[in-house]
This record gives sequence, structure tokens and C-alpha cells, in this order.
Amino acid sequence: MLRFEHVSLSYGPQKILDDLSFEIQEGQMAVLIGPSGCGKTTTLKMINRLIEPSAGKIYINGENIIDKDKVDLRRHIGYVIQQIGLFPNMTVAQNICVVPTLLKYSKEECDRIVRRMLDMVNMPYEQYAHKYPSEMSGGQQQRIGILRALAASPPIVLMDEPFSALDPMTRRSLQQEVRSLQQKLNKTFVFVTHDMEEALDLADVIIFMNQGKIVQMAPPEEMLAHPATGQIQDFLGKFINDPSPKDLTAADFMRAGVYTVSASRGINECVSMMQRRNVDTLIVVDDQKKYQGTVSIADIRLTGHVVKTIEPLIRCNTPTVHAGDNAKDCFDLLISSGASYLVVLDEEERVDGIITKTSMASAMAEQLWG
Amino acid sequence: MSIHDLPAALLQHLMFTVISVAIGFVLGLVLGILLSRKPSLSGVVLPILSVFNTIPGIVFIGLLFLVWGSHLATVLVALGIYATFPVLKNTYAGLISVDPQYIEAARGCGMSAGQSLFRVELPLAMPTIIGGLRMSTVYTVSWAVLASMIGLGGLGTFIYAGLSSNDNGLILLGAIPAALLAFVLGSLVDLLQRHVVPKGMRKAGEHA
Repeated sequence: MLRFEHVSLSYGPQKILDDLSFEIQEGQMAVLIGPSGCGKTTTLKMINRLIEPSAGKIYINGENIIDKDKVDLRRHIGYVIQQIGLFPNMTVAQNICVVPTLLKYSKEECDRIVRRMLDMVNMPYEQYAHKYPSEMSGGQQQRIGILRALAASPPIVLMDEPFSALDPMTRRSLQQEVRSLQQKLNKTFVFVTHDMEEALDLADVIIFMNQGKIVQMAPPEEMLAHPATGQIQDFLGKFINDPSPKDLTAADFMRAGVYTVSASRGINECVSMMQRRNVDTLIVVDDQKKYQGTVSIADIRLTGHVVKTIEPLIRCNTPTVHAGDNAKDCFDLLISSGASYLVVLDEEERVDGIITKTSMASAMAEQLWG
Repeated sequence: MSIHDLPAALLQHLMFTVISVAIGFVLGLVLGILLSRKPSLSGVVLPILSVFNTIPGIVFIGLLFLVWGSHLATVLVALGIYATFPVLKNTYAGLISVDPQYIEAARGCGMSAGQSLFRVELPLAMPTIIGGLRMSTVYTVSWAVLASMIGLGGLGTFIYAGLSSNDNGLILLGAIPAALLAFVLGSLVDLLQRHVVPKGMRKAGEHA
């Protein structure tokens, strides 16, 4: 439907657009997005030749637009701008019919179009057709701006940040209207915005630009799942789903890097280690670092004088979980077992970390307040 | 010179004014439009016109009289040129100050340069242009007094006769109708203003 082939634009040594190639399918809503100055509006204005590329070709339905008469081309491409640009000297009806009038439609045909258009956005003809733009709110004006673009039923509609000057409520309702109009009329829309929420809501395909280049072109779901660069990720920001609380695992809740001792260590060494670290139990592992159990200071005091190493004193009464286990189950286990911590093991039964009430609380706080 | 000559002189004066303003309006409008299409030229053209504008009308009419002699054309051309300036300046200013969003919308809708000018830019600049016409009309009424200086009649005849014979009554007989004429023509332009200013651009409360 709409194809860019190696389109570039430079003013002197400055490259505004750098070798753009992409294709938009018929009936798609394509959204151009990126930081300001990335060339998205310039790209849009090339489609109706308000700006001409310095290199490359643009095709609409297989026809190179450079071969067409500029003025005629524009009459067959809808155009909505941010500042709305309704002509203040014309009524709503006259504004809607600007393009049909230029195309020399009959008066009756124009009147039919006005009625049909106003009907589409639920603005009664009697009430609005003969109003002047200055008598309407910004939201109503931009509705008419969109109708003006659609009036001659062009196959392509260009929208240059059409809602960025409107309040959030009006913007929402106009976005929904544009979405439903686009689906109803099955037209190709190219929409420029800097608002990622808008892009995700409206787009069939998002084209992310930066410094005159396309960084990523993908459907919203794919962009959310696999943002190509850190910058896109920043733009997506809050829209990338945080892991929901249900998906949290023991690994999210544990404190990593815990100290372990080997079972062959002597009693005295372990006692001094406990004192130094101010703990009352030690986690014991074997030569392969596999989890064996724990020794407590109480056991050492009771029977420590009859053994040399801690091996006979190892107990397996501390509950263990695996790193991938559900966090909620770990929480329940920690509370119900009465143990002061859980030992978290990886797949090879090696110690990964421990879950204490403190590590759990701080992980929850992280979830809650970010 | 008596009050009986007044109607004829008034008519003569009115004729000078209307024809000159008509010439000036057309000339000013066309030149203003041309200048607004090439704003880079205005940096050169407008200062030159301003300098020209400061030449007193009496000097210009005198010079033109020396070249052309005492003809109706001498007066009409001189007054017409003077009447051009306010219209030209205001047309240029009005067109230049049209909000670019409307011009972009017009281009984006597929209007040719001419369609954009006549359907959008001129209507939007109309209040300013008519303001120029008003200025031009009121000035021309007073400049037309100079016509009598080269013996072509109008209300100036009374004023010059009064001045030379030290007759204050005669001066007032010329001056008061001239002032009234300026007032009446100015009001007529105001009336015109209400009709040509696009409805949607009139201030609230003015809607019929």
C-alpha cells in the first residue's frame, strides 16, 4: 500500500532522515513514534509531499508519488494536524467539505457528506453544521478536523500528533473514535505521536524512530515483549508488564551469598565463626557444595565436647525450598514452620540463599513501592 | 465663492477621493499580495516605500503638476499613489500574520497556492486590509484639498480662497464639510468591514 524505499533527507551536511525503508499494509494503523527531532513528522509529511526527499522513492499502491501532481495527490490523502487548523472563516459544514469542494463535488453531494460525517461522530447536523470553529471546544474542533480529512474518502489518512493539545479525557475518547473509524472504514492510517500509550492503544504496527532511522518496526505486542533497544524500553516504561505477584519465586525473596561450612570442619572453628558472624546456626555443605543440613550453637554446647567435627551434629530440621518455588508457598512455609529461615537450593541441591522474615519483607516492599 | 458653490465642490472632492482610493486599494492589494509571496523582498521594498511616504503630498502634487500640467489625471495619480501605501502595508502585514497552521492545513488539503490565497489567507487577512482601506480613505479626503492648489476644484478651493482673503468663514466652509466627509466615508468603510470580515472571526456578541 505505502512503501518507502531508501528515503533520505539532508539539509546540507545534516542528515534528517537516513535511508528509511518500510512498508505499511492496506487497512493498517501505523504509528510513528520516537523522541522529538527523530524525523517522524518529516517522514509523515513526505507522504503528501509537503516535504520532498533528497533521495529514495515513495510508492502508494505501486505508483511513485513523485510522478503525481502534488495538489491532486494531497486531495486524495487525508491530513490532520496538531493545531487542528480548521479555517475560522468557514462553517463546520464548509470545513468538512473543503476537499470535496476542491474536487468539484456537487452541492447536494457535499451536503450528504456533511450529514454522514457528522452522524459518524454523533454530532447532530442541525446543531453543528452551521457553527464556526471558534464556537466549539478543542475536542469538537479536532473531531471536525478528522472529518475534514475523511470527507473525500481518501485511502490514506495522515495524522500529525492530532491529540497532543487536548486534555486527557477528550484525548481518550477521540482515540477510541479514531480506532473505531479506522476499523469501520478500513483505511490506511499513518499516525505520528510521542505518546507511547497512544501508540500501544491504536497501532497495528509501531515504527520507532531515532535520529532519522528506524530502530524497530513491530506490532505493539512484539515491541512490548522484545524492545530492540534500551531507548525503546524507556519509552515503553510502565507499559512493560512487571512480573505479577503470582509469578514471584523463592529466588525473588531470598538473600543470596550466604556463608556455608563444610561438614569436616572442627567444632571450635565453627563456634568462633558463629561468634564472629553473630549467628546461631551454620549451613553445612559437602565437598560438592550440596546441602547437608545445619548445625546450631545449642547442639554444639550440649554435645560438642564429645565430637571433633560438626558432622554428627548436622540436623535436617530447617525447611528447604527450591529457587523456582512459588513465593507465596515459601511465605506460608516460613510462617507455619516457625523456623527462623528457609534454605533455598538450586537444581543441583546446592545452597542458593536463605529466606528470612527480613528478606521477605524487603522483597514485598520492593513489589509494593518499587 | 459662496455657499452655493458648496454642493458642486463637495461632489468634486468626493469624486477625487473615491476614484483615488479605488486606484490605491487595487494597487495596494495587488502589490501587498505580491510582496507577501516574496517576504524576502519586503526588507527592501517597505523601507523605500516608507521614505517615499514621508514626501509631503503637496510636494508630490506640485512636482507632478510641473511635469503633467493641470489635469484631472495629475490629481488622481498623485492621490492614488498616496492612497496605495496604507492598503499595501496592511495587506502585506495581514497576509504575513495569517497563522501558519491554516496555510499548512490548506496545502495539506490539496489547495493550490491561488486557492489557499483566495479561500483562506485573504479572508483571514481581511480585517487588517480593510483597516488599511479606512486609513487610506480618511487620509485621501484631506489630501484631496491639495487639488485646488493646481486649480482643479474641490473643497480646497474654499480653504485657499479663505486663507488668501483672510476670511475665516470661507475656510470653515471648506474645512467642516471636508471633516464631515472624512467621518462619513470612514463610517462607510466600517460598515463594509462588518460585511467582509468572515462571520466566524467576528468577536462574540457581534453574531447576528
